[in-house]
Amino acid sequence: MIRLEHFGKISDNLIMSMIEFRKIRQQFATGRKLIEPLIDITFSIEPGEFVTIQGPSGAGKSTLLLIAGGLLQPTSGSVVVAETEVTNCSPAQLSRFRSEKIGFVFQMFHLVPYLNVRDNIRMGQTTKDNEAVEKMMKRLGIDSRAESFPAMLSAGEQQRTALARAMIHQPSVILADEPTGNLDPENAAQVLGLLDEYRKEGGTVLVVSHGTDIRNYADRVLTLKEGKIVTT
Amino acid sequence: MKPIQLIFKELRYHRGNAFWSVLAVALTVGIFVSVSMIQTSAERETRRITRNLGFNLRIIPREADMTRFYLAGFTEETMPEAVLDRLVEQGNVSYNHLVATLHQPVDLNGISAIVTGLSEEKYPPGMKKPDMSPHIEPGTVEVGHEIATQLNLKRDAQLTIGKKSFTVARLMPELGTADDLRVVGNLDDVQAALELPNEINEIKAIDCLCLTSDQNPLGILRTELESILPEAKVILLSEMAETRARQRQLMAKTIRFVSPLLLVTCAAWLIALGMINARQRVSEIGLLRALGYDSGSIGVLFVGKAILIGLAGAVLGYAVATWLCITYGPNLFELTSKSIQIDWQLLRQSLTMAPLFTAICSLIPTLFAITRDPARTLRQD
Repeated sequence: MIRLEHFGKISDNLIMSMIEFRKIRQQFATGRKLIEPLIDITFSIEPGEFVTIQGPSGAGKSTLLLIAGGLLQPTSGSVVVAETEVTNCSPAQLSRFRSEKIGFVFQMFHLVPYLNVRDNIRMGQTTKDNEAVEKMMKRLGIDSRAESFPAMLSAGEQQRTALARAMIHQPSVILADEPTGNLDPENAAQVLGLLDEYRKEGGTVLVVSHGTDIRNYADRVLTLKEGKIVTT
Repeated sequence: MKPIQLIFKELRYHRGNAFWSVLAVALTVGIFVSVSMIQTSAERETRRITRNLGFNLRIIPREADMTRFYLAGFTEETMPEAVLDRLVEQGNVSYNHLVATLHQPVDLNGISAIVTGLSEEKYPPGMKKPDMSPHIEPGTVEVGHEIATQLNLKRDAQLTIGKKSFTVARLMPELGTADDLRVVGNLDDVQAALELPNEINEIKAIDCLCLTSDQNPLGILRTELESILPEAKVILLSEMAETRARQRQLMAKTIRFVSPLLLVTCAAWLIALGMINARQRVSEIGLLRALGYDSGSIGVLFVGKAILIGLAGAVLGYAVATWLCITYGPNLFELTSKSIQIDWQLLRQSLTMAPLFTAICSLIPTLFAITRDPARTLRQD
């Protein structure tokens, strides 16, 4: 069993999967009302798998993704991602886990507005490697926009920049939250194609999406409804 | 990417916020620098004016006849010159600018005059300041207007006092006081001319309590003198002392009132701008969390930016305030206009205190930024 000393301890029976959700329960209080978007969610994703989670708005898809990335603590249950028990890490361990193991892609891109394309991609690096940045920009077709700022880019270019930032440090897992939600079909296909390429190179992809096109790329489609995985 | 690069890029992007922040610091630093320079200049000017008015303390022999003292304006009783050294050596006294003085009435070719000998100014240890009284070269005298007129004296003329001959170094302008009948010389020369070696009859001084009469400065001064020089007594020219005290206190009161007001206003301004900036950057903060930046790294971006703003504001505020003081100060302080100069000590203080102040002011926005829940910002559903 491989253990990374600086990350949280993992249970012996969870080491084979790249992502393992075990009885994840999430509750939010909104005023007097208690909302429970996730009820005992249990499933796993194997290394090199492309999995899509679908479901209606408010079903808890993004919540599940944020829990996997260690950005949100579940009310109960545990998550192991890339041999790290995310739900048992200190803040410092989580920071290191995210910078080394995870690549995030968001619907709203979340590019830093005062950095150009090149610098935005560099934000995802843990070590300075200019050559890798140039290669990544070329691969994603944004090398001609290297000096452009986010406000000057089309939605497709912005999302490809965000994708480059997510992939530049070669993470084990990419967690994408509605990555095509703001894109036209052509750009959406391009972004999904890039995620598929990443999967083919050995990466694991977990995508939350409303769209149906993504079914063409996913190995598995999970549907989240009323807090539970209803189809797999 | 290095934090400093991120800070500079963010400053350039949110340049409006940065501009108003630098302006707040520059204004605060500028006001502090100008008030400080004005205070220094005002003190210098006061010192000069006080010098022109004369000293405000007179220490005379205890046995001096006060009736004759007030009628003549001086006492003829003497005390050893060594008492001055004793007073100086005590240190920690409320007297400064001490000048041993010997006054005696003399007859100069049938004209009644007062001869006054002045020593060099002396200061208690650690209280050295620029001299207030004029330096008189040995062998020379300064002659009052009435005496010069009646004896028809010109500059460089010879004047014999007692057994010594002096060169007239300066003819004093008409003052309309007993000083028009005064001949002022070096103390040693006057002692020799009057055959009163090592004798003085007065020590002139300035009190450095700067208290007004209702605060009883004379009581304090007398108690201090009693223990050091029991053979002497002190007279305070209260009107002059009070004028000086009030002028200095006015400046100190102004600074005491302005400083907190200014600091609070600037702090509120900076905190408000910092909060606006932190709120504008909520998405960026969430992203940084997602990329693995910890609280310390995010805090560095905010505090580092605040320090840079503090440095920029300090330089700008200092430069503008110094330029204004040097340009317009001479109109306010005509007597000491030449001494209004660049104050490097103030620059050092500005460069230290302003970044420290802005860093402290950035703590609330920084706390807001680092405690922000990234899940709230980044969640789509």
